[in-house]
Amino acid sequence: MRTVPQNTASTDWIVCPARREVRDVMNRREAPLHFEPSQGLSVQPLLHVEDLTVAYRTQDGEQFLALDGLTFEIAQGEAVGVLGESGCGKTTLGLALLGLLAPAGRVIRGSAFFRGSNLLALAERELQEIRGAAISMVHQEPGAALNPVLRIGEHLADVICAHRPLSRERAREEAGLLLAQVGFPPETCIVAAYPHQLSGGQQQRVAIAQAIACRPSLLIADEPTTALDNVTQLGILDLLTRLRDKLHLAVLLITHDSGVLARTVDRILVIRDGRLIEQGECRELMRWSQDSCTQALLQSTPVVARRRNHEEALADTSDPVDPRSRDQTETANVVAIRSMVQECRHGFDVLTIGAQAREVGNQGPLLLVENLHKRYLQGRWLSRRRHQVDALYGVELQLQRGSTLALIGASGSGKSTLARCLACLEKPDSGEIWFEGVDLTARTDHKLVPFRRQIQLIFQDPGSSLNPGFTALEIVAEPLLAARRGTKKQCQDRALELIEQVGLRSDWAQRFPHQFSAGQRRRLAIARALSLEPRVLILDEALTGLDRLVQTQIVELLLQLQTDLSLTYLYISHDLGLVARLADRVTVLRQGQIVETASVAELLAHPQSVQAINLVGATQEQEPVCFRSQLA
Amino acid sequence: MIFAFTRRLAQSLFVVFGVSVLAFLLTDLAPGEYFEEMKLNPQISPKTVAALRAEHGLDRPVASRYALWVRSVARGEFGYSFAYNCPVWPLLRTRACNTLVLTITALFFSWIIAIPTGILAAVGVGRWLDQFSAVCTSFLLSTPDVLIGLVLLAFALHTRWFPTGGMRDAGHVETSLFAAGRDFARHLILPVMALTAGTIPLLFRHVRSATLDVLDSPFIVAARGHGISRTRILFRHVLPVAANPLISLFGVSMGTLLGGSLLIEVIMSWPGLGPLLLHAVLERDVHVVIAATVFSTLFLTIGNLLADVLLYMADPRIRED
Repeated sequence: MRTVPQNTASTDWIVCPARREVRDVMNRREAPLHFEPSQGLSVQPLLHVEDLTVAYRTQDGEQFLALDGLTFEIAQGEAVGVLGESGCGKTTLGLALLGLLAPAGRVIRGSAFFRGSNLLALAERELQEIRGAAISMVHQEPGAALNPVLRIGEHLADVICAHRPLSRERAREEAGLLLAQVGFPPETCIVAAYPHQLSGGQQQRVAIAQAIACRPSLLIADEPTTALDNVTQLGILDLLTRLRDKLHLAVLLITHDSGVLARTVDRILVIRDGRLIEQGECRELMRWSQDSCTQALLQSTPVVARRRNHEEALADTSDPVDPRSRDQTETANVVAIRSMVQECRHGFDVLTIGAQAREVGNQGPLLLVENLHKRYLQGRWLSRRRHQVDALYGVELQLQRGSTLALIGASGSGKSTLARCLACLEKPDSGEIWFEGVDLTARTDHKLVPFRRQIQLIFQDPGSSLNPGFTALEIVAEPLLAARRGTKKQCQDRALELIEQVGLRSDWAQRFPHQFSAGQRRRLAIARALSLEPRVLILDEALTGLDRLVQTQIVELLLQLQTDLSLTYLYISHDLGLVARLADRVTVLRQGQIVETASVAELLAHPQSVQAINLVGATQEQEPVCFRSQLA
Repeated sequence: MIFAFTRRLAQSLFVVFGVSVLAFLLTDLAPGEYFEEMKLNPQISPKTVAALRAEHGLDRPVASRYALWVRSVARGEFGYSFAYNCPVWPLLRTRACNTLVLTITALFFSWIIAIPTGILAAVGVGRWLDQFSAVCTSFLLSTPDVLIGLVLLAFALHTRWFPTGGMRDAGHVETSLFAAGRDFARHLILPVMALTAGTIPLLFRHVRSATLDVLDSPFIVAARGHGISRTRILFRHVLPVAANPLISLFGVSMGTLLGGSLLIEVIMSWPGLGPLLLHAVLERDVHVVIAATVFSTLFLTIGNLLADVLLYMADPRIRED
């Protein structure tokens, strides 16, 4: 049996660099270590959590259990993934272990033994010595986890000085070394930068540098990549894996994205409603899990799955069972995937024929964009120089009736500006937007009103675009009332219909937005957008930040609505997996210019531009192992 | 930075100019003028009144009166007071100085008290200090300034510990600078207390909520997660961020330096701008009113300018876009 080299003394890091190097070499493992329960018992686990139960007090004075009797172990140097839907208590787990729960949260019972001491029973002062030194944490939003007024060097030096007897000067030097370790080239003066000057990926690297500053033995990473785009995500996961090998770090990776887990961890804990429902070795779980919830969570959106009409999808799988139903068997899975592969192989002309067929009887595209320019002046009044940013530079676009066009590109590439221009919320500097033979850019605000109703926009975060003081019914009925579509009663009846149409229960109509989950809020936003019977729906990152399960449900809803109401979608995203399911054609945007337009299949098979290649590469890398092995 | 500052300065000057124009127009629109009452007096002939009006240029149109006023500003007179029959500036200068001594002292003490208590209340949110100070501030906020002033006056009358008005003892013979200073300070205490009691609740609540906001933010949870000590988190991580909204508030509070103490000055008979302005408004001594308004605006813009510079130094996100 292989024994794991023990990270014996907690003061291990006070060794000179050369010795540390030697230790690192010794700790480096030849093969990936897989935790096996039978062996694990004989090795002293690094962290042993027993019956961890955490409750939150709600505002009504009631208690609800965020975590309910969680029991698990983490061995030295082992990477464990925690998988669960959003809101299942994953984040609570990480916070509870470090005693960082919000005031409303309380550990009711349970223990968490780490190196012989119960973390849950320690005093704040003792915890303070463990936090950052022996157990450290990386948070979900890298931007929010860094103090806006402190330089990066100070961030790192603060952590170092908190746990190591170094002078401020030495700590700053050390900070430079740490930054090199997380992949910043040494010549960059990142130490002197402020957080807002860095990109999301760079910020997350800094957060990781903070976390490893004192050579912890356990790293809790709470959704470390969720807020990042696919390419950056890959870089961060690579870094985590590398550091784990190098520093012999145990990792607790909390995520709702099974694609992330497949690359990074040895073992997975699946959590639902605060309970541990399953745990096991990564591949095993992906292949053999009996639990429907696990199955659903592990189902990553397949990149190669092409978009299809709802009925088609049902007809295709000769299995009468609805493919998304919970008790889907493995065979059905394989059949479905095989059929997808077949479709891929047999060329995508089927797809184009389908698209053409739909166009029969329609003359020309529904929406035509020609040579669109939009320029912003950047720089606030306090900055010396104002520079111009071309948000859109000569954009040309065609949106066919009843089809879906996806717009992808890195953040800041002008996607949202284009969406706002198309929705008539912003005037472009020059260029034309033709909608049904009418040039929208030539119209005055007043004359745009009927067109605004036909082109609706759904925002990324419906939480902030739904008025918190309105009930669901009022939210959906409001556009109808504003457009004087009948009496109040008629409008409300229609709103109720719409609410049911997007799959919400009509008896929830009196609830307020905060009483809905993120997915339900998005349904509500869709219902509101549909209320005026638009021809075009612009979905600006409308699925980002949701877990896979909810994403799948909303995609189904969108496809259903498209066939029912013959809607045209413009879907803006950076997630190729979803694009592949939803869209017919893809347009890649880079710095305000279109670099590539192709059908989804073409783009996946032969991406031309650098951006597309990166995105496709990143998405494929992230496919769960099981998926690829089944394809083979 | 220099460029931005000069730009802001130019904007501020424009604001002051605009306010002076508006003040002129509005006082012109208001019915009545200083010489109205003279007309009612049978002993003064209408001719004399007309001559007086002509002498002060009141018979001319607004634009030309404004031009006259600007010329007198250039001479350093800031218009002419009808009631006191002298240029406004010398009148205003001594009064404004008295007011500033009072308000600056009061503002200083308000901030000195509000900042630490606000931070302590935020750190121990829900504990006894927080709840106690919440009760105190609610009480002070709901009590009118006049009442606070009157209660303090009654207190002074009853105990005879403090003088009940004025700035100096009338019969006081100045023996030494020290004695004069002590006498002045004794007179200052009551009005400062009244003013401070009025401003503390507002400042306290701002400090508390700004600190609470920052304490709740994810980067503080992250800092705790890195094992950084509580005091260091408070002083190094929380306060610099929380300072941001407070600096803006500080700028605004500068604007109240000239106008915020009017009521207390009248009640406590402090020889500041308050009594003068009250008089001027009642008598329609328009140039005094206009000059006081323009000076208040000047203080507000200076305060905002100062706040901008401080913000610039405190927050790297503002320093560059």
